[in-house]
Amino acid sequence: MSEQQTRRGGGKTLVLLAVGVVAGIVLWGGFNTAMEATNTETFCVSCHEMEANVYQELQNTIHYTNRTGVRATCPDCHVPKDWVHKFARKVQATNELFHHFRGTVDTPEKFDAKRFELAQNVWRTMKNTDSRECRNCHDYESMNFAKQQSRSQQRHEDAERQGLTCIDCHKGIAHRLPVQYDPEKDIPGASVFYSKTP
Amino acid sequence: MNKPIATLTLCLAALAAAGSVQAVDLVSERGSAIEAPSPVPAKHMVETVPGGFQRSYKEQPPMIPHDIEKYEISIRNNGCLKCHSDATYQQEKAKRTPDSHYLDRDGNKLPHLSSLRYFCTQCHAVQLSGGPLVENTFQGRK
Repeated sequence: MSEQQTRRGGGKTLVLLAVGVVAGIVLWGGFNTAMEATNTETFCVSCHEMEANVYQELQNTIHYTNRTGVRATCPDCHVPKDWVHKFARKVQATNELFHHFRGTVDTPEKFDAKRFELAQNVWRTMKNTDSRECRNCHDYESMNFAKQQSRSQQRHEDAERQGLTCIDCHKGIAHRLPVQYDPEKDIPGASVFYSKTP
Repeated sequence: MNKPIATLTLCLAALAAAGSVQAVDLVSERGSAIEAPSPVPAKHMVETVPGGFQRSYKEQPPMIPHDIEKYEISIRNNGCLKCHSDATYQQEKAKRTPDSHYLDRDGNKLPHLSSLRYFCTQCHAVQLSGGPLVENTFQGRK
């Protein structure tokens, strides 16, 4: 065994490692960039299902335009921030692609017919994740109850004590409520709208 | 002078008069020049009154003592019922929609809010903190 051979072997490993690292960075970076590109409002409203329905409704709400100029875009509320959950959501989105190409909700009429089911899907998810996407911005920890009106203050304190989550009270704040929504059946903590068949 | 000439003279006289009127500076009721945009009205907040407003006269529909900007009343939903309905008013510590709102026009009891009463803001309104537009001596019911 010559010393030279060992050195050559070591060199090979080094080269392989370097190629691997570079390829890894490029592939991973590319993958991540592509995923981030699907995580923008422009991408979301490039489908007319989104543009003609939910995006129009959003524009009248405080999450779109307000006095401080902070805007929540589609992915801020509908895509988790942390990587694992984000990736899971993106895999789930293949179902949305499927229905986009099938044209399941490609007219406002079709969309409205499906709205109750779609809304319930979102409500259920938010209930199950303790409104994780809301809490990316709105956090009890950083909420100054003293600056709220006495009623909101009281309700927020009660809700925290009862273990309620944002969506229990704040439904329909960014999009139109489905016509089947009945506030009398949506009493916080006793809502019928999270089960699959209300 | 025949008739057409008389008419023409009158018309010319009227035009001349109109011209002289135009020379007077017109001012809008709100005090700005007629061509200028009206001044932007001062911004007023919606008044929030815990416990509600006192009624000013008998059978006045109570004023709404809070902001309602975020609540929608449409053919699809009525956001007011989130707190003011039979099922929710206790938990929300809100005023209940009274029995009169569950009657049809013949006085028969309905299981749901009467469609005559559905659009809350037809009778109930918020109050801005602006003060009266015109100075007046109105005193509400004591």
